[in-house]
Amino acid sequence: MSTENLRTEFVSLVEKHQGIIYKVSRMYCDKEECRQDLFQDILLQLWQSFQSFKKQSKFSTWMYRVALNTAISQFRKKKNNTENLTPDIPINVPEEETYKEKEDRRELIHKAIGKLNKAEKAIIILYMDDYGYEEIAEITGISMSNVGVKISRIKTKLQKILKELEYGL
Amino acid sequence: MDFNDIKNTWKNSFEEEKLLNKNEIEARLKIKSRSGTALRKIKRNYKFELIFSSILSVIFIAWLFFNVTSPNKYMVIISAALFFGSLTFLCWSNYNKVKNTIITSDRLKPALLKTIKDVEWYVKFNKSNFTKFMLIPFALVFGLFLGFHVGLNTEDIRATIPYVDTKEVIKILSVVVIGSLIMIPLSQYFNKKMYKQHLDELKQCLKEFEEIEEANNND
Repeated sequence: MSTENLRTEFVSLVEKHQGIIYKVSRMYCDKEECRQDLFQDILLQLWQSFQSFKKQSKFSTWMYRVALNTAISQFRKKKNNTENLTPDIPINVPEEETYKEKEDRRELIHKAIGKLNKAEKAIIILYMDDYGYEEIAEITGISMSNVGVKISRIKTKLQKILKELEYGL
Repeated sequence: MDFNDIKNTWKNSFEEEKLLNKNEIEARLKIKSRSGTALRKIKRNYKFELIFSSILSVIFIAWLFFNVTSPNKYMVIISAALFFGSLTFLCWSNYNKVKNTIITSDRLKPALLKTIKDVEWYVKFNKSNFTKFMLIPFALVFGLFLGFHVGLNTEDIRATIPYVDTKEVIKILSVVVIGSLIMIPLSQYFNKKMYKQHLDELKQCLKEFEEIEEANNND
Protein backbone atom coordinates (compact mmCIF):
# COMPACT_ATOMS: atom_id res chain seq x y z
CA MET A 1 0.00 0.00 0.00
CA SER A 2 1.38 3.45 -0.90
CA THR A 3 2.08 6.02 1.83
CA GLU A 4 -0.72 8.21 0.47
CA ASN A 5 -3.28 5.37 0.73
CA LEU A 6 -1.97 4.39 4.12
CA ARG A 7 -2.34 7.96 5.34
CA THR A 8 -5.89 8.19 3.97
CA GLU A 9 -6.84 4.95 5.73
CA PHE A 10 -5.18 6.14 8.93
CA VAL A 11 -6.91 9.53 8.89
CA SER A 12 -10.32 7.86 8.36
CA LEU A 13 -9.76 5.48 11.26
CA VAL A 14 -8.54 8.26 13.54
CA GLU A 15 -11.51 10.42 12.61
CA LYS A 16 -13.82 7.58 13.66
CA HIS A 17 -12.04 6.76 16.93
CA GLN A 18 -10.60 10.15 17.94
CA GLY A 19 -12.70 10.11 21.11
CA ILE A 20 -10.09 7.74 22.53
CA ILE A 21 -7.36 10.37 22.14
CA TYR A 22 -9.56 13.00 23.80
CA LYS A 23 -10.29 10.67 26.70
CA VAL A 24 -6.66 9.71 27.25
CA SER A 25 -5.49 13.34 26.94
CA ARG A 26 -8.15 14.46 29.42
CA MET A 27 -7.22 11.71 31.89
CA TYR A 28 -3.52 12.51 31.89
CA CYS A 29 -3.57 16.30 31.54
CA ASP A 30 -5.50 18.81 33.52
CA LYS A 31 -4.53 21.91 31.59
CA GLU A 32 -5.94 22.62 28.13
CA GLU A 33 -2.52 23.46 26.68
CA CYS A 34 -1.04 20.19 27.95
CA ARG A 35 -4.07 18.29 26.58
CA GLN A 36 -3.57 19.80 23.12
CA ASP A 37 0.10 18.82 23.13
CA LEU A 38 -0.60 15.30 24.30
CA PHE A 39 -3.25 15.01 21.60
CA GLN A 40 -0.60 15.98 19.01
CA ASP A 41 1.95 13.56 20.40
CA ILE A 42 -0.50 10.66 20.48
CA LEU A 43 -1.57 11.43 16.92
CA LEU A 44 2.01 11.43 15.66
CA GLN A 45 2.89 8.31 17.65
CA LEU A 46 -0.16 6.55 16.19
CA TRP A 47 0.88 7.50 12.67
CA GLN A 48 4.47 6.38 13.24
CA SER A 49 3.27 3.03 14.62
CA PHE A 50 0.49 2.53 12.09
CA GLN A 51 2.78 1.00 9.48
CA SER A 52 3.61 -1.82 11.87
CA PHE A 53 -0.04 -2.32 12.91
CA LYS A 54 -0.72 -5.95 11.99
CA LYS A 55 -4.52 -5.70 12.32
CA GLN A 56 -4.55 -8.70 14.64
CA SER A 57 -6.54 -6.70 17.16
CA LYS A 58 -9.28 -4.11 16.69
CA PHE A 59 -8.04 -0.66 15.64
CA SER A 60 -9.61 0.93 18.73
CA THR A 61 -7.83 -1.57 21.02
CA TRP A 62 -4.50 -0.90 19.33
CA MET A 63 -5.20 2.85 19.42
CA TYR A 64 -5.88 2.75 23.17
CA ARG A 65 -2.64 0.85 23.74
CA VAL A 66 -0.52 3.35 21.79
CA ALA A 67 -2.34 6.36 23.29
CA LEU A 68 -1.95 5.11 26.86
CA ASN A 69 1.71 4.24 26.35
CA THR A 70 2.38 7.70 24.92
CA ALA A 71 0.53 9.41 27.75
CA ILE A 72 2.27 7.33 30.42
CA SER A 73 5.72 8.01 28.98
CA GLN A 74 4.90 11.75 28.85
CA PHE A 75 3.59 11.52 32.40
CA ARG A 76 6.93 10.11 33.54
CA LYS A 77 8.70 13.08 31.96
CA LYS A 78 6.65 15.70 33.72
CA LYS A 79 4.99 14.50 36.84
CA ASN A 80 3.57 17.89 37.65
CA ASN A 81 0.82 17.73 35.02
CA THR A 82 -1.89 17.35 37.57
CA GLU A 83 -0.76 20.40 39.52
CA ASN A 84 -2.85 23.56 39.53
CA LEU A 85 -6.10 21.69 39.39
CA THR A 86 -9.27 23.69 39.66
CA PRO A 87 -10.21 24.63 43.22
CA ASP A 88 -12.27 22.25 45.32
CA ILE A 89 -15.96 22.56 44.59
CA PRO A 90 -18.28 20.94 47.11
CA ILE A 91 -21.03 19.25 45.14
CA ASN A 92 -24.43 18.10 46.23
CA VAL A 93 -26.32 16.21 43.59
CA PRO A 94 -29.83 17.65 43.33
CA GLU A 95 -32.61 15.91 41.41
CA GLU A 96 -32.54 18.40 38.55
CA GLU A 97 -29.10 19.71 37.83
CA THR A 98 -28.40 22.98 36.11
CA TYR A 99 -25.76 23.16 33.37
CA LYS A 100 -23.30 24.69 35.81
CA GLU A 101 -23.92 21.95 38.35
CA LYS A 102 -23.42 19.27 35.71
CA GLU A 103 -20.16 20.90 34.69
CA ASP A 104 -19.01 21.06 38.29
CA ARG A 105 -19.84 17.40 38.77
CA ARG A 106 -17.90 16.42 35.67
CA GLU A 107 -14.97 18.51 36.82
CA LEU A 108 -15.06 16.80 40.20
CA ILE A 109 -14.98 13.36 38.59
CA HIS A 110 -12.10 14.29 36.33
CA LYS A 111 -10.27 15.71 39.30
CA ALA A 112 -10.81 12.51 41.27
CA ILE A 113 -9.56 10.41 38.35
CA GLY A 114 -6.57 12.74 38.10
CA LYS A 115 -5.60 11.69 41.63
CA LEU A 116 -5.20 8.03 40.61
CA ASN A 117 -1.77 6.81 39.59
CA LYS A 118 -0.93 6.34 35.90
CA ALA A 119 -1.60 2.59 35.82
CA GLU A 120 -4.92 2.95 37.67
CA LYS A 121 -5.97 5.67 35.25
CA ALA A 122 -5.26 3.40 32.28
CA ILE A 123 -7.35 0.55 33.71
CA ILE A 124 -10.31 2.66 34.81
CA ILE A 125 -10.53 4.60 31.54
CA LEU A 126 -10.83 1.30 29.64
CA TYR A 127 -13.35 -0.08 32.11
CA MET A 128 -15.50 3.04 31.95
CA ASP A 129 -15.30 2.92 28.17
CA ASP A 130 -16.95 -0.54 28.33
CA TYR A 131 -13.91 -2.62 27.45
CA GLY A 132 -14.04 -6.24 28.63
CA TYR A 133 -11.50 -7.76 31.02
CA GLU A 134 -9.79 -9.58 28.16
CA GLU A 135 -9.24 -6.39 26.17
CA ILE A 136 -8.12 -4.48 29.25
CA ALA A 137 -5.60 -7.25 29.97
CA GLU A 138 -4.39 -7.14 26.34
CA ILE A 139 -3.97 -3.36 26.30
CA THR A 140 -2.40 -2.91 29.73
CA GLY A 141 -0.39 -6.12 29.77
CA ILE A 142 -1.68 -7.36 33.13
CA SER A 143 -3.22 -10.81 33.63
CA MET A 144 -6.97 -11.20 33.14
CA SER A 145 -7.50 -12.49 36.67
CA ASN A 146 -5.73 -9.44 38.03
CA VAL A 147 -7.89 -7.02 36.03
CA GLY A 148 -11.04 -7.74 38.08
CA VAL A 149 -9.20 -7.32 41.38
CA LYS A 150 -7.60 -4.07 40.25
CA ILE A 151 -10.87 -2.63 38.94
CA SER A 152 -12.61 -3.38 42.21
CA ARG A 153 -9.82 -1.64 44.17
CA ILE A 154 -9.76 1.35 41.87
CA LYS A 155 -13.54 1.76 42.07
CA THR A 156 -13.36 1.83 45.87
CA LYS A 157 -10.42 4.23 45.79
CA LEU A 158 -12.15 6.54 43.31
CA GLN A 159 -15.31 6.70 45.40
CA LYS A 160 -13.22 7.46 48.48
CA ILE A 161 -11.39 10.28 46.67
CA LEU A 162 -14.71 11.66 45.42
CA LYS A 163 -16.11 11.73 48.94
CA GLU A 164 -13.02 13.50 50.19
CA LEU A 165 -13.25 16.08 47.43
CA GLU A 166 -16.97 16.53 47.87
CA TYR A 167 -16.75 17.23 51.57
CA GLY A 168 -13.41 19.02 51.34
CA LEU A 169 -11.65 16.45 53.56
CA MET B 1 -22.66 8.75 43.94
CA ASP B 2 -22.55 5.11 42.81
CA PHE B 3 -20.11 3.89 40.20
CA ASN B 4 -22.64 3.91 37.36
CA ASP B 5 -23.26 7.61 38.01
CA ILE B 6 -19.53 8.25 37.88
CA LYS B 7 -19.20 6.26 34.66
CA ASN B 8 -22.13 8.00 32.95
CA THR B 9 -21.00 11.46 33.99
CA TRP B 10 -17.48 10.70 32.78
CA LYS B 11 -18.75 9.41 29.43
CA ASN B 12 -21.10 12.36 28.95
CA SER B 13 -18.28 14.81 29.60
CA PHE B 14 -16.81 13.95 26.20
CA GLU B 15 -20.02 14.39 24.25
CA GLU B 16 -19.51 18.12 23.75
CA GLU B 17 -15.90 17.69 22.63
CA LYS B 18 -15.40 19.24 19.20
CA LEU B 19 -14.18 16.45 16.95
CA LEU B 20 -11.70 17.06 14.17
CA ASN B 21 -12.49 16.39 10.54
CA LYS B 22 -10.14 14.58 8.17
CA ASN B 23 -8.49 17.76 6.93
CA GLU B 24 -7.76 18.95 10.45
CA ILE B 25 -6.26 15.58 11.42
CA GLU B 26 -4.13 15.65 8.28
CA ALA B 27 -3.01 19.24 9.01
CA ARG B 28 -2.03 18.41 12.60
CA LEU B 29 -0.04 15.41 11.45
CA LYS B 30 1.81 17.45 8.85
CA ILE B 31 2.59 20.33 11.23
CA LYS B 32 4.15 18.06 13.81
CA SER B 33 6.29 16.16 11.34
CA ARG B 34 7.26 19.29 9.36
CA SER B 35 8.31 21.21 12.46
CA GLY B 36 10.22 18.13 13.64
CA THR B 37 12.14 18.03 10.36
CA ALA B 38 12.97 21.76 10.48
CA LEU B 39 14.13 21.46 14.09
CA ARG B 40 16.32 18.48 13.23
CA LYS B 41 17.96 20.39 10.35
CA ILE B 42 18.65 23.45 12.51
CA LYS B 43 20.18 21.21 15.16
CA ARG B 44 22.33 19.47 12.54
CA ASN B 45 23.58 22.81 11.17
CA TYR B 46 24.41 24.19 14.61
CA LYS B 47 26.31 20.98 15.31
CA PHE B 48 28.19 21.30 12.02
CA GLU B 49 29.12 24.91 12.84
CA LEU B 50 30.30 23.89 16.30
CA ILE B 51 32.51 21.07 14.98
CA PHE B 52 33.83 23.23 12.12
CA SER B 53 34.71 26.20 14.35
CA SER B 54 36.34 23.92 16.95
CA ILE B 55 38.56 22.23 14.35
CA LEU B 56 39.39 25.58 12.74
CA SER B 57 40.30 27.08 16.13
CA VAL B 58 42.62 24.22 17.06
CA ILE B 59 44.34 24.25 13.64
CA PHE B 60 44.82 28.03 13.67
CA ILE B 61 46.14 28.17 17.23
CA ALA B 62 48.49 25.25 16.52
CA TRP B 63 49.70 27.05 13.38
CA LEU B 64 50.38 30.20 15.41
CA PHE B 65 52.24 28.20 18.04
CA PHE B 66 54.61 26.62 15.52
CA ASN B 67 55.05 29.59 13.15
CA VAL B 68 55.03 32.83 15.13
CA THR B 69 58.53 33.77 16.22
CA SER B 70 57.99 37.30 17.52
CA PRO B 71 58.65 38.10 21.21
CA ASN B 72 54.88 38.68 21.60
CA LYS B 73 54.14 35.10 20.48
CA TYR B 74 52.13 34.12 23.57
CA MET B 75 50.20 37.38 23.52
CA VAL B 76 49.19 36.67 19.93
CA ILE B 77 48.23 33.07 20.80
CA ILE B 78 46.17 34.18 23.82
CA SER B 79 44.37 36.81 21.71
CA ALA B 80 43.61 34.22 19.02
CA ALA B 81 42.47 31.71 21.64
CA LEU B 82 40.14 34.30 23.14
CA PHE B 83 38.68 35.18 19.74
CA PHE B 84 38.22 31.60 18.57
CA GLY B 85 37.12 30.53 22.03
CA SER B 86 34.28 33.09 21.96
CA LEU B 87 33.32 31.94 18.49
CA THR B 88 33.23 28.28 19.55
CA PHE B 89 31.34 29.18 22.72
CA LEU B 90 28.70 30.97 20.65
CA CYS B 91 28.30 27.89 18.44
CA TRP B 92 28.13 25.61 21.48
CA SER B 93 25.56 27.85 23.16
CA ASN B 94 23.37 27.88 20.02
CA TYR B 95 23.60 24.13 19.64
CA ASN B 96 22.84 23.57 23.30
CA LYS B 97 19.73 25.75 23.18
CA VAL B 98 18.24 23.88 20.23
CA LYS B 99 19.38 20.49 21.47
CA ASN B 100 17.55 21.00 24.76
CA THR B 101 14.50 22.38 23.01
CA ILE B 102 14.19 19.25 20.91
CA ILE B 103 14.66 16.92 23.86
CA THR B 104 12.02 18.67 25.90
CA SER B 105 9.69 19.40 23.00
CA ASP B 106 6.81 17.50 24.49
CA ARG B 107 4.82 20.69 24.04
CA LEU B 108 4.62 21.70 20.45
CA LYS B 109 3.63 25.36 20.69
CA PRO B 110 6.02 26.44 23.47
CA ALA B 111 8.82 24.44 21.77
CA LEU B 112 8.11 26.18 18.47
CA LEU B 113 7.98 29.62 20.08
CA LYS B 114 11.25 29.08 21.95
CA THR B 115 13.12 27.69 18.94
CA ILE B 116 11.85 30.50 16.69
CA LYS B 117 13.06 33.07 19.23
CA ASP B 118 16.51 31.48 19.56
CA VAL B 119 17.10 30.91 15.85
CA GLU B 120 15.70 34.33 14.92
CA TRP B 121 18.23 35.95 17.25
CA TYR B 122 21.08 34.08 15.55
CA VAL B 123 19.83 34.86 12.04
CA LYS B 124 19.64 38.57 12.93
CA PHE B 125 23.06 38.40 14.58
CA ASN B 126 24.59 36.87 11.45
CA LYS B 127 22.82 39.38 9.23
CA SER B 128 24.06 42.35 11.25
CA ASN B 129 27.59 40.93 11.19
CA PHE B 130 27.52 40.69 7.41
CA THR B 131 26.51 44.31 7.08
CA LYS B 132 29.50 45.19 9.26
CA PHE B 133 31.76 43.92 6.46
CA MET B 134 30.87 47.14 4.68
CA LEU B 135 32.69 49.13 7.37
CA ILE B 136 35.87 47.04 7.24
CA PRO B 137 37.52 48.93 4.31
CA PHE B 138 37.04 52.28 6.05
CA ALA B 139 38.29 50.90 9.36
CA LEU B 140 41.34 49.48 7.61
CA VAL B 141 42.26 52.75 5.90
CA PHE B 142 41.79 54.64 9.13
CA GLY B 143 44.00 52.07 10.91
CA LEU B 144 46.74 52.40 8.29
CA PHE B 145 46.64 56.16 8.52
CA LEU B 146 46.84 56.04 12.30
CA GLY B 147 49.77 53.61 12.03
CA PHE B 148 51.68 56.01 9.82
CA HIS B 149 50.90 58.87 12.15
CA VAL B 150 52.18 57.03 15.24
CA GLY B 151 55.23 55.78 13.29
CA LEU B 152 56.23 59.26 12.20
CA ASN B 153 55.91 60.52 15.77
CA THR B 154 54.53 63.90 14.69
CA GLU B 155 52.05 65.97 16.62
CA ASP B 156 50.27 67.42 13.61
CA ILE B 157 48.14 64.75 11.99
CA ARG B 158 48.17 66.64 8.64
CA ALA B 159 51.97 66.06 8.44
CA THR B 160 51.28 62.34 7.96
CA ILE B 161 49.34 62.79 4.70
CA PRO B 162 52.39 63.26 2.35
CA TYR B 163 53.93 59.98 3.64
CA VAL B 164 50.87 57.84 2.89
CA ASP B 165 51.50 55.67 -0.17
CA THR B 166 48.25 56.17 -2.07
CA LYS B 167 48.87 53.24 -4.44
CA GLU B 168 49.37 50.79 -1.58
CA VAL B 169 46.28 52.08 0.21
CA ILE B 170 44.21 51.69 -2.96
CA LYS B 171 45.53 48.14 -3.46
CA ILE B 172 44.65 47.07 0.11
CA LEU B 173 41.32 48.85 -0.08
CA SER B 174 40.46 47.10 -3.38
CA VAL B 175 41.24 43.67 -1.94
CA VAL B 176 39.11 44.35 1.13
CA VAL B 177 36.19 45.80 -0.86
CA ILE B 178 36.18 42.91 -3.36
CA GLY B 179 36.50 40.42 -0.50
CA SER B 180 33.57 42.04 1.31
CA LEU B 181 31.47 42.12 -1.83
CA ILE B 182 32.00 38.38 -2.26
CA MET B 183 31.67 37.57 1.45
CA ILE B 184 28.40 39.43 2.05
CA PRO B 185 26.19 37.55 -0.46
CA LEU B 186 28.01 34.28 0.23
CA SER B 187 27.47 34.54 3.97
CA GLN B 188 23.88 35.63 3.48
CA TYR B 189 23.32 32.63 1.22
CA PHE B 190 24.64 30.26 3.89
CA ASN B 191 22.69 32.04 6.61
CA LYS B 192 19.53 31.57 4.56
CA LYS B 193 20.33 27.98 3.58
CA MET B 194 21.36 26.84 7.05
CA TYR B 195 18.92 28.71 9.26
CA LYS B 196 16.58 31.24 7.66
CA GLN B 197 14.63 28.77 5.49
CA HIS B 198 14.09 26.41 8.44
CA LEU B 199 13.12 29.35 10.61
CA ASP B 200 10.49 30.34 8.02
CA GLU B 201 9.21 26.75 8.01
CA LEU B 202 8.86 26.82 11.81
CA LYS B 203 7.03 30.15 11.62
CA GLN B 204 4.67 28.71 9.03
CA CYS B 205 4.02 25.66 11.26
CA LEU B 206 3.28 27.93 14.21
CA LYS B 207 0.92 30.02 12.08
CA GLU B 208 -0.96 26.93 10.89
CA PHE B 209 -1.08 25.53 14.42
CA GLU B 210 -2.55 28.79 15.72
CA GLU B 211 -5.10 28.81 12.91
CA ILE B 212 -6.25 25.32 13.91
CA GLU B 213 -6.39 26.39 17.57
CA GLU B 214 -8.41 29.49 16.65
CA ALA B 215 -10.81 27.46 14.49
CA ASN B 216 -11.29 25.02 17.39
CA ASN B 217 -11.94 27.85 19.82
CA ASN B 218 -14.45 29.50 17.47
CA ASP B 219 -16.39 26.24 17.14
